[in-house]
Amino acid sequence: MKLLTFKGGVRPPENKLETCNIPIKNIAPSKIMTFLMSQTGEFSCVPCVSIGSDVLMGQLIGEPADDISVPIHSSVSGKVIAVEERMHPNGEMVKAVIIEDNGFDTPAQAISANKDYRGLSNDEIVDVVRKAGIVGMGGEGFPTHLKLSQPQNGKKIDKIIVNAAETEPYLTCDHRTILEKPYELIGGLKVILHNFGLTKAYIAIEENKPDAINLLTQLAKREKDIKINVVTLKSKYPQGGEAQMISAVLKHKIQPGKLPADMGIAVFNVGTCCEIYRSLMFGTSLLSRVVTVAGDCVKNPVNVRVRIGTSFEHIFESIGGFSKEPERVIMGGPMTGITVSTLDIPVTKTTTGLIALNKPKFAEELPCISCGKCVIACPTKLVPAELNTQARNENYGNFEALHASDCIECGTCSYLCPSNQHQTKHVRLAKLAVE
Amino acid sequence: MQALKTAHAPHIRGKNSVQLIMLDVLIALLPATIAGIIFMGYRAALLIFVCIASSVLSEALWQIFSKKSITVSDLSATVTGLLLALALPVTLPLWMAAIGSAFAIIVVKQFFGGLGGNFVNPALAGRAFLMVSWFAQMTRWTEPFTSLNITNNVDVISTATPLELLATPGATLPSYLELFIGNVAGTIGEVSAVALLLGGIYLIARKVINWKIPAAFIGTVVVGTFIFCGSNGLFAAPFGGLNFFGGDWLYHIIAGSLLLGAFFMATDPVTTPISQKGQVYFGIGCGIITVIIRLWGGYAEGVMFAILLMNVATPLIDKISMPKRLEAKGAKS
Repeated sequence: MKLLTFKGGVRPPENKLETCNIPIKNIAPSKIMTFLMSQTGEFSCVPCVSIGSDVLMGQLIGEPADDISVPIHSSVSGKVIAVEERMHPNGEMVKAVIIEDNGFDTPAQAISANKDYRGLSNDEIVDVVRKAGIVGMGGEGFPTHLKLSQPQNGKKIDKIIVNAAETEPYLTCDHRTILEKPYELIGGLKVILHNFGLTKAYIAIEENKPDAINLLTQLAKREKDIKINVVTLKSKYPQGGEAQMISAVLKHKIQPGKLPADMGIAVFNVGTCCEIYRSLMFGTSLLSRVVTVAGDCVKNPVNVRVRIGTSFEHIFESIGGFSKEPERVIMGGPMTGITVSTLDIPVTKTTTGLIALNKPKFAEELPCISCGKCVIACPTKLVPAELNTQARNENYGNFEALHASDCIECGTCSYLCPSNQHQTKHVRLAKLAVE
Repeated sequence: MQALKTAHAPHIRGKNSVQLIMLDVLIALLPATIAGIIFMGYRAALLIFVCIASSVLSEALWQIFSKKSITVSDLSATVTGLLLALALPVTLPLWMAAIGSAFAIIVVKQFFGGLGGNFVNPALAGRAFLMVSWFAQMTRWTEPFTSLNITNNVDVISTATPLELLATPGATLPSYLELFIGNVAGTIGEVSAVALLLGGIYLIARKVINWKIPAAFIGTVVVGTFIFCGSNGLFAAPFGGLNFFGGDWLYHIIAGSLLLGAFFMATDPVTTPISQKGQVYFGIGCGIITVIIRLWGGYAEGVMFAILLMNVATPLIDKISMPKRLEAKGAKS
């Protein structure tokens, strides 16, 4: 079978074997749960509970601050003990609701009582998904209800891809979710197809997950009314990037400054599909997620299902702690994840992984020898070496002229640079300076 | 618990390094080096040693003198020394070789900022410097297996390189087989086509170099010599209405320094365009200049000046050959 892929990329060591064969472990919530009112970047909420109020599991505690953000729910039942600023994984201080868990998990009222989504219209489905607080769970955190709405410009969504590439090293949370909850995944996909009135979809998986590919291919054959096309992608980083995924599966290029939706394409993550299914079938909101805990400092690497709001420290303790002191703890994958300065940070809706690494051995930085490896590998067809030079010289005019804003900061150039230049870092900093 | 370190992603790195690239180049040059020593004798080994020692020492001394950190461990000076030695005639006085290497490292490389800063290939610029300084010594060729002494070789019977013979009407040319193996006159490293091909294939297989530069370079020379070189492998009178489309292109590939230049010098990352498209332009340019010099120029050999001239043109090529972005190319909507 021909493997689909995009042009460029790298193949870092996958390091997935230590977690991909172990079942997802459930972790009890910590006594004190922290719910950040800003789960992902620009989308934020306003607390709607105050100190001393009792909350139920699934109860709304943060109202969306604008028309596009999604609400936040308590993942435990208990008492609000503080509403104050806490540290976000990205290092910023953001408003948070802190709840003491009473351990009863008394559920709040379901967000939707409807058992059959097939009777629901597009607007109704979008409403349920928004009320459930669902965002893209692959790490991007884009509100899912926006993706389920038809684009404003009159273009109709007619191509659906489920992104099951899981391209980052170490991460296996999507892989395990496919193996353990395949019906939720396909159920969620059916909801999405119904929502758009479509009958055909792609599930795209990297070839390094043969068991998941087999399982989904078998299940796809059983579907009579819809056609699910399970496609195998080459295992290559960053295959899971949205543009790279679309390029590989549909052979479509996305024009600069445009969204996939402008071309009638919508891409959903595995975990997101499962949550869509659960919100419509069971009326539950997004209260927990699967997180891969791995890295050379973790004693027992494993995937865990944790409630949103659990502190990183509690997660590491619950699975047996560290085998040696980590130097970096990364939220997300090692190619794009962000390092945290303390473990007293809660899981958010976009925490795909917690990777604890010992001192990485990086060679000394040498001058660029313009070998062109970054140019060949750049999945966005930029010239990282040149961007790096302009960024470091603070030549922001030239920097932007090189289409810096199209950089997806995937880290490919820094990963393979023989001179050990850190193009990704300098481009990222320059992009922030330009803004 | 110790404090956690915060840093920018990515948090893992590949195994690439400048040192590994240079080590691969040295490994790839090994067959040509050994062939050179076999055909040219022990003095070839001595010349190689002097060039490498002079390069590495010049780099270290310059860096001590200018209070920079010493970077000879990246092996780039070793590669420069070896490449220069392989492009020298075996009879060259050792002190000239030492001066050529020092010039390559200090003037061509360090004056322009060291690794990554030079705009022409140091080894080739070193050779060009020796060529204009001591032309007679730089063009004194000996037959393979001539016994030489260390210091004074003026009495050695000099001969001509295959390309020089090609330019001389009526001369007896060495056979393809002799050229392929390396049993001909020429610089230490250029004589054995098979050894250079082995090295080139190694570099391409290890992804140290992109096949496009050598392919474009050699391809252009093939086309150019096939069209213009005349029927018997002799140089055709330019536009004399003589035999076109019958040139002995194979002879032009395996004789002279084309393979050495195409695989090891025109692929120097620092002095060649960064994009693949630019690298193809670069290779074609090298090929055209080589053909022009070989067929109509005063020298029998044109590879060195072709690469040096294209090195100088590299910033311009970079400007016109930047890759188009994924999104912009062939977008359907």
